[in-house]
Amino acid sequence: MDVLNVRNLKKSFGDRRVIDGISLDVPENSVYGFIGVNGAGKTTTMRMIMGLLQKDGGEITVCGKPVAYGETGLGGLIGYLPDVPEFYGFMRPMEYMRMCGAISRMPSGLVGERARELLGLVGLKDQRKRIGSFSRGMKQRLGVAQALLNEPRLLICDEPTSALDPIGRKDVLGILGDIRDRTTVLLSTHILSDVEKVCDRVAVLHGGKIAMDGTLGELRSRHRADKIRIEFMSAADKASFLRPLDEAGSLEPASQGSGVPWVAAEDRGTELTLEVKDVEGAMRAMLRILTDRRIMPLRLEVMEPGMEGLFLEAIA
Amino acid sequence: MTPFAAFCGKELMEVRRTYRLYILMAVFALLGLMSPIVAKVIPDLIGGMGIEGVVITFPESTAMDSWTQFFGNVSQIGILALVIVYGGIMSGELSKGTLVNVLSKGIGRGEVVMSKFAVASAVWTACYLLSFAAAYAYTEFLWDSNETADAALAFACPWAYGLFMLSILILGGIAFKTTYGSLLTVLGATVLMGLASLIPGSKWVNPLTVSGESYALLNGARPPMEFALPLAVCVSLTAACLAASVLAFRRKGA
Repeated sequence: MDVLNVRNLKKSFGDRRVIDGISLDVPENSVYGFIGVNGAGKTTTMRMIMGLLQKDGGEITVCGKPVAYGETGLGGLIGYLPDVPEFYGFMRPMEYMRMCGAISRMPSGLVGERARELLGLVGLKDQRKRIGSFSRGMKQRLGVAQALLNEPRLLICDEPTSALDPIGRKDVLGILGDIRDRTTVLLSTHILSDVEKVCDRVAVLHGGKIAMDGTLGELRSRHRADKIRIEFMSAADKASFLRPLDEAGSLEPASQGSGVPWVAAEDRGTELTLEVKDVEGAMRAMLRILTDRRIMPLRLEVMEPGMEGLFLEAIA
Repeated sequence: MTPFAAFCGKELMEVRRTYRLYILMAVFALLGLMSPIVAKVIPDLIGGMGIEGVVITFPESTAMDSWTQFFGNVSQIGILALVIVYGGIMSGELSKGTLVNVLSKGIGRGEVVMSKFAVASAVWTACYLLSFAAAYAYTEFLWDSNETADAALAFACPWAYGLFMLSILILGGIAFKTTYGSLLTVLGATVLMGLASLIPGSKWVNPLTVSGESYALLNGARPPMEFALPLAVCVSLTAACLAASVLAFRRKGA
């Protein structure tokens, strides 16, 4: 079942069309990455899903319920973690959680229990300081805890890691990964390594449209460039490996009749990058040569297209 | 606990922990104490200046002078302090974005506006009562005779004016999202009422009438109707400002 459906969503600011008819389907219990460069319209889209911003056209439904502007968060169905969450500085974390619980009409016993559990999850359990003295990272973590308090079906996180140090980023990503069995996460970011770490599915927003979407696996297989990279210990090893190659450019060991043709090769010092037609066959043939010639490679790998490559391809 | 009660709790915690409550209470206690003292010593001070050859005679000051001082102080310095302390009542939250989390938890925008107004009103009422108690005790002590004609209406007038100012601050905050916007809205409204008071006969409906002159009710110098009507207008405008705030807040978003 889909938790979030967006159909043909549109938004303009003045003459500038920021969102130009995008559609999204976010399945339950997934971490959905919403990627785009700065200013692509990620926050705008998320604010419209939250009901914080009026849309110009299109439809948004969360768990089958249409989102109306002004009815923020559909009465607790959607949790929201803004990119810079703002709290009341005069409160302590537990006090803030209790207030949020009461506002969501949760029974106070349950609030205490869940608040303690969540503050433990984000590492703020024994924090007695007032929120006003918190660092940015601590506020971000408290933001995650408060957003999860009333067990929203959909958690919207707007660039939750963009301003954190490496440890804070690792922590927040860890938390988001851990909660996927409890809720569905829509995560916007422009940090591609974050996407690779936690997201199941992604959509790339570019020029107001969805330039590419699907699961990470789908995207990879759709865009896989068939390349094998091999790195040798020395130039002599490389020469030895290349010796049986004939002028036609086929990888044909002397002892074998079946050569493995490659389309193009890139030669960089002791490293070779080969573009091949059949990855498996080529790999098998190469391993055979390496064994026959007693060449010990430093590295031999099939190159997976990274998120960066996919992203650049999508917005090109 | 309802969302309304929870948000009221937050508002109350805010005025305490940011010391606004204590600042206001100190100001109002001082205003209450000062009124009878000033009324008592001013004739002595001026009379004692002893300009050669000029004899200044003052009538003996009365409890009425003390109450005249009280109404003047509360409706000017007191209201100014209230407006400054509560200048950011809405704008502070809107400009920082602290309401986003709270709204996403399912509190209604009307509940936010009304709980803010409720707690600010309670604080204002407490401060006003404190000031009144101080002035009353000292006035009794110094003169032990008090006028009582229409006292309830007389003291309700500045109180209602304070509530009116709070509702304007909220509306201004929602409209402009900055503290300056809130304060300028109050200033603009005051200037407008001041200009309107130049129109003959407008005192019957101008809320400005209730701000600082209702001491005249205490000794029966002016009839109650002269204040009851503008008081009714003041209360209606307060309600109108709150309704407009809720509607504007629903339309503008956070």
